[in-house]
Amino acid sequence: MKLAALRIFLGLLFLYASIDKILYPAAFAEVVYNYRILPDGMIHVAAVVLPWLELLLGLFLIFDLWLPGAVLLANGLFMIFFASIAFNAVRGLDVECGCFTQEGASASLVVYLIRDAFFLLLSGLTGFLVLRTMMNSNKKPNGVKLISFLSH
Amino acid sequence: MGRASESVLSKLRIMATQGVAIVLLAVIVALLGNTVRPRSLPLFAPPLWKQGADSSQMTLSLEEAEHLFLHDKAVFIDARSPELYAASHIRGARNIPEGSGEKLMREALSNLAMDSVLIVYCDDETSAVSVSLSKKLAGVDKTRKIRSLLRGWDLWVANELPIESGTSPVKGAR
Repeated sequence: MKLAALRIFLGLLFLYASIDKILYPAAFAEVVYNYRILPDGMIHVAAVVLPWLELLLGLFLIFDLWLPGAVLLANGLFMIFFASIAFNAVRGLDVECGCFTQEGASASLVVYLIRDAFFLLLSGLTGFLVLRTMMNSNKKPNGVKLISFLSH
Repeated sequence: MGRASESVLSKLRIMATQGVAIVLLAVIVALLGNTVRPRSLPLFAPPLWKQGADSSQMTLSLEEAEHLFLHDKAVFIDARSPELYAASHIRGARNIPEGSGEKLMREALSNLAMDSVLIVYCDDETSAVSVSLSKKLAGVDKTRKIRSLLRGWDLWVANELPIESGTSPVKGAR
């Protein structure tokens, strides 16, 4: 029950975060550029791929498809988001988060960091619960059988 | 290695395999989505707004303009009056007369390919009108590469490059 609530919450979060970015890729590309982390040649690639990855990840989490992989990815993404904001905070760059929308009110980097740390905590907890379920149960979660078959 | 740690490793391998599969799926969907959408981003080009920001020159030569025109990589913006525009203008140009509001500018810029360069021209000897409009357009569409063709109309006509007549497709510009 706890696991279902967590994965659906995280899924909706990713789904919501992806919409504005998919609708306005050029604006999102500018946000990615402002982070000053990726080389110029990779800005558009990231701006095109990341929103769709978030959308798919959201759907996989909500519908419990390939949940172990989806949770691992969610953790990876939250770590990258957190590290990117922390990196810019340390070097004194006040960037727009661009996490959910490309325009509108902007908060301080500390607020973004606290928020991302909270999301990271939730996804970490989800990952722990998924791993525990996998360890405790002979019955593998949805999709595991297929992917185990594919990986052998 | 113990049985328990082997088991954890195998679970982690499953997680990683699924994660990679989701990323690959996302890349495929993203590339397809970017290909079919009207305003697609050129994937490996430098950021569009940076191309404009890095260039201290906001102008281009007639040869460059002609090259872009022939390769269908430019949209011309006619900054002259609607009457002059209707009488004759660069083929395919859109009319944004001097003093136009932001709404008309946005309308004129709608439905353009992301990688199209906007080339603004007028018939002013100093090209002050087209330069001024270029700056305003850059404020409206920050991602777009915008250039002024100095003495654009005179040069274009003198070189017998393609022109046409008729009213602007942009409503409000008459």
